[in-house]
Amino acid sequence: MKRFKRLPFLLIVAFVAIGLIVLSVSLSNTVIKKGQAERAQKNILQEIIEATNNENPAINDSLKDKVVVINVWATWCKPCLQEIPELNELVKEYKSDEIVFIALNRENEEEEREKMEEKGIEFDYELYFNQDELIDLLYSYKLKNESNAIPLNIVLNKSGQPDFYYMGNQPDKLKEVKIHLSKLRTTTFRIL
Amino acid sequence: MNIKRIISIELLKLPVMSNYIILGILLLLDFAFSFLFFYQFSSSASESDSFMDVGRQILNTQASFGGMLICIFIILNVGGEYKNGTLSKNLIDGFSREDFYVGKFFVMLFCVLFALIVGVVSLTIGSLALGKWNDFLHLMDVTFVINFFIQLFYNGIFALFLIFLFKKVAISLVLYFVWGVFENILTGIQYVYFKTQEIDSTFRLDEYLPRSSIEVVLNSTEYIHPSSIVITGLYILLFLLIPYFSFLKSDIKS
Repeated sequence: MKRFKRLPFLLIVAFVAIGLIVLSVSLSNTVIKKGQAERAQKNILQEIIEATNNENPAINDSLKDKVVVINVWATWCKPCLQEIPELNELVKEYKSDEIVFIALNRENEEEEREKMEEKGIEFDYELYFNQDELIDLLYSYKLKNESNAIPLNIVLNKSGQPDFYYMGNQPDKLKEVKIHLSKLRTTTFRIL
Repeated sequence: MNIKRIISIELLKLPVMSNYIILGILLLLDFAFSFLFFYQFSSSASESDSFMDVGRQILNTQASFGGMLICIFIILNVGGEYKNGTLSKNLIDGFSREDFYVGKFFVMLFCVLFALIVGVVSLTIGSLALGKWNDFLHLMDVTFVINFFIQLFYNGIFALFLIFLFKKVAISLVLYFVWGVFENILTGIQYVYFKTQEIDSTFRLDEYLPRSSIEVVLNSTEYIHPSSIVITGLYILLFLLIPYFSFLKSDIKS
């Protein structure tokens, strides 16, 4: 009797399954890459200023030609609180006339400040509360594969385009942001 | 024996009470998830974005529960053949070991297709009832259907792997659940320890673990590196071929 006569069938099945994974991953990779490239071209700063009629205290005309580092957070969000010490280091190292750090929160200011005191949270970004409209606008730039997760970190370059746009506490991404900001600082020094 | 005959023999063995119960639970769960999901969105004026997020979570939940039930189905089905001695009878009656293994593979495929169809149909009915058809179409793209199928299939071949290697229903079921918990603990340790120590924070342990690797590949919102696909592909080959070769050579007594 011929042995392993069903082996080719099983191998074909396995390779079809692997092929389907490759197809699925390449389709989603293409969507991610295309979406990210399209988003990177958008002047988010300008679009937000127009959408809010330049009336929002957090994001307005005064930020034009500046690098804007935005963080969306809340005191009830554990990953947000976990990344705050690292974010504070960013402020300490890179804050300048050229680089602005803004933190947006949907909740009521008094309640959030109370909780900050209770939990001993010190956040060195410029804090803005009750920012539902602005936060919704920022989340409208998320891609189909991205969820409405919090925290949201965005770095807008001087042209208002996002160099970084990511959700969740991601230490690897934060490292990249640091490198990016340090490069910007070096470039500024060189120009000076 | 030709494949058509193997399939017809396996189909004759399917109408058993335990199989009806498992497939019934699968059907009920899928419709319950779908109903809860659409009920939530019909009772609140939520935005499309939230619809997509929650929808994706519901679909993932359906895939994981479906995968778990498929696993139980396969383990009980094959384990029953060992326990009741019907495996020996089949072999005496002219079934080759290869035919038996391939037959069980088709049973697994049948379950996967059943779970896939029920999942998609339950969500289709829900979205039509709510009038969220366009959002649903946006959510249910080709990638999602493939991912849903692969996730179920992966669980199915993992079940085949366990039951053909260990032969006992209880051991296989315990291993299935303990394995999942064990991988979660390992991933947790890696996250807590390695991330805080900053020892190569780009390294992801779950990418290399048998049950988690498929989730990394299919559910990631980031760009997937080809190495992740290679690892998952290797696991698929192992899950299909190790039990095949082991079953051809091993003792059939449980």
